[in-house]
Amino acid sequence: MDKSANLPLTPHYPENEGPEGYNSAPAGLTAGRLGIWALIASEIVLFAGLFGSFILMRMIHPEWSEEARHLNLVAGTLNSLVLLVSNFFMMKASGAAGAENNDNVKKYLVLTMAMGVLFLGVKAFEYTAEFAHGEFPTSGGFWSFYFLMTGIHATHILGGLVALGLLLNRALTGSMGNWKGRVAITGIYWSFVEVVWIFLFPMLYLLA
Amino acid sequence: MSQDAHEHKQSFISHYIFSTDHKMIGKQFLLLSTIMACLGGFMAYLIRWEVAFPNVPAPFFGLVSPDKFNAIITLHGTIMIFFVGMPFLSAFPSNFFIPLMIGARDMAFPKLNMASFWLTFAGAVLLVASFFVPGGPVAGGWVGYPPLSASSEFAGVKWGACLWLLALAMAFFSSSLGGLNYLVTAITLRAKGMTYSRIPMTVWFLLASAVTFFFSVGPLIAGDFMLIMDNMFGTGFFLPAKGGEPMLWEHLFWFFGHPEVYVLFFPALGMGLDIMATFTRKPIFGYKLILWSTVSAILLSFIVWAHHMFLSGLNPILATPFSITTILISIPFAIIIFCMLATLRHGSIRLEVPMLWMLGFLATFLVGGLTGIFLGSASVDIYLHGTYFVVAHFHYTLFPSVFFGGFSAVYYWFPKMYGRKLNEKLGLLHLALTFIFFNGTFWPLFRVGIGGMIRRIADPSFYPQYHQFANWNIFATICAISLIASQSVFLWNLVLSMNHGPKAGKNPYQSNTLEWLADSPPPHGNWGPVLPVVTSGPYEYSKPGESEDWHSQASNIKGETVHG
Repeated sequence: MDKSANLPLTPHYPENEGPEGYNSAPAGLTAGRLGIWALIASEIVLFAGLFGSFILMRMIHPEWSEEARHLNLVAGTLNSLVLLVSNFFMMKASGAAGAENNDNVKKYLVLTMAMGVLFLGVKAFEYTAEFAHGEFPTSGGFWSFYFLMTGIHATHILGGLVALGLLLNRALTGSMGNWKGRVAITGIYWSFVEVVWIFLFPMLYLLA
Repeated sequence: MSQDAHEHKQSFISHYIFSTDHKMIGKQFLLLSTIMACLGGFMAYLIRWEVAFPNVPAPFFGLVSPDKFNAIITLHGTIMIFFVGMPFLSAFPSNFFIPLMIGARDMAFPKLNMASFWLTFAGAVLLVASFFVPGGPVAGGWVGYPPLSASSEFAGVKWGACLWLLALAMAFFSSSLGGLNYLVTAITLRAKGMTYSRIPMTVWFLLASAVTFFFSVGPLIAGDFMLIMDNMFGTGFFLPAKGGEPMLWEHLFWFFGHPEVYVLFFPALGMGLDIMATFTRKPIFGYKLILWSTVSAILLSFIVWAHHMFLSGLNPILATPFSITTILISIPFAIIIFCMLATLRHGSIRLEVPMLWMLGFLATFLVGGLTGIFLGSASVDIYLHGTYFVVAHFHYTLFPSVFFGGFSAVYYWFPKMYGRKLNEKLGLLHLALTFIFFNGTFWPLFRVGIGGMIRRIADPSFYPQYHQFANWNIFATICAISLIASQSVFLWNLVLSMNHGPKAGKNPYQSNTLEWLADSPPPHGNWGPVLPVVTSGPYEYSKPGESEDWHSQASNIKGETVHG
């Protein structure tokens, strides 16, 4: 009686039809691509809420600029560069996946991940130094926002690293198969995480 | 044969629990929301009992002391909105009907779909767990205004507040991921020929609901994190003593809060439109007009939030624009309601149970919508905002959406979900009791509210000026208890008909939309080997020159329907 046995009755699907059904996506759009853009759209609203709250609070607290001077500008700048370079490698990896060059996919995924880990390392170094100076999330409004916003951003980097790790695992075992599209999709997400940092960095570090 | 059964048993967990089948996930959401509704309904009873019979121990519970009262009103709101309304009205129909109505085999991301159910489940568990932690559950109102909600110093609740906030975060993530999935599914997995103008209203409105949700919840997720940090780590985002700003939370909360009402209203509206077309045997009047009105309602819903904050110390200059946008938003909804009335006109109306529930939804929601115009005006709101008038208005909008709308959908699609029809007489009894007792519960509260009785107080007998409302409150409470008790008719009907109801067949209402072409209940993969190919719109009823008054959207498998 299990009707699921009926499912793969047609081994050759008609045009535009796969195991999941008819594909009605507009040309060039896959479910994964649309999904990641929808995810990014909802993330933008989340970060807009965070940034909006910070900007409003920053406007009524001009004295926060004094505290912003305590941030490590060199480390922040370095991290911006690290993320930019990481994105460059990510784009390379996307291109390599499109060209089915598995060696390059592996190489560039490792480089992207290395840059991501370096970013988190620099961030951890900054946090440690700030804790040593007695600057905790509880040390006032500016620090609460700083740790919350950079923390949420770092969580996104961490999530991206997990996704990249899964891709790398596939690339290493040579079983990319239909995962090729996912490299590009992860690349879109990775760019988004970088764009968030592009807003975060001047707002926290440079508005001193 | 026994080997077959054995193999089937192996897949029990993957079939019933960690299922990725959209229909099973839809049923899981339905079951979860039913269980949570029983909990939320019990709390409603305790609230009403305490207001009508202050300091008299409630049967089956005991004395509802003021601190328990505060916790109960908080959790009643949270449970009913995020763990009943969202799963029952958004997640359950989206999961069950979107793939069926667009002719897909499943969701675009089945595993993500499963994750979104288990996130809601985890949230529900966290919320229930908060009853058992030291300090008890959160008691700061479902809107969670700081500073009361931001520090245990004020409310005496630490772990309850943290668990509540985590539960909310789970519900938010679940609904966002779910919404993303519904959107992608409806764009990429439509059957051949299912153009945008042939998509049934149910799907459009479920998408409207999903999109409204995930474009409005972001700031509240941010606020939720801030409030978690305030509670757990002692930061001061919302605490004036630490340089924070309590008003910030209100902005973040209500930026989401108002669209959320439409998140719960849209599915009821969309399903209602489909039910209306089927039971009037007429096309929907103004298909595109309704859709564009909805788009404008969504856009407006993002710029009305401060009408919840007229009493919060908001700059009075801001009150006027927010009053204007609030009253403007009644225009698109009026257009939609008039389109619905025009659909009824000259229809061959069949007053079957789902149609009657739908008309009940329309009639009761209208009261909620119209009283909303009163509250949208800042000058009126300043008097009414703290009173039971708001409670009555709020329940006149959400109860019709979630319960009248939701029940009309369950009665309508039950044959598709379980292959059997619900008992009609019990359905009518359920409707009559619910309609009478719902109005009996909340209509008096308008009166009590205009009279000036303040909401959120546990013991009205303490205030001499409220003694005049005692009889109104007792009447409302008796109706509320009867309303809750009447729902047992539905549960009984559900259990009875699931096993013993008359077999329904594929298309018991001669309806056009695609889900009626699948078996009842639809098998895994929904369509067997051949996918439907859509050749006409969803509402081609009573077409001149045709022998039958309906015309299935996909003619390619209509032939099979007869002998299938």
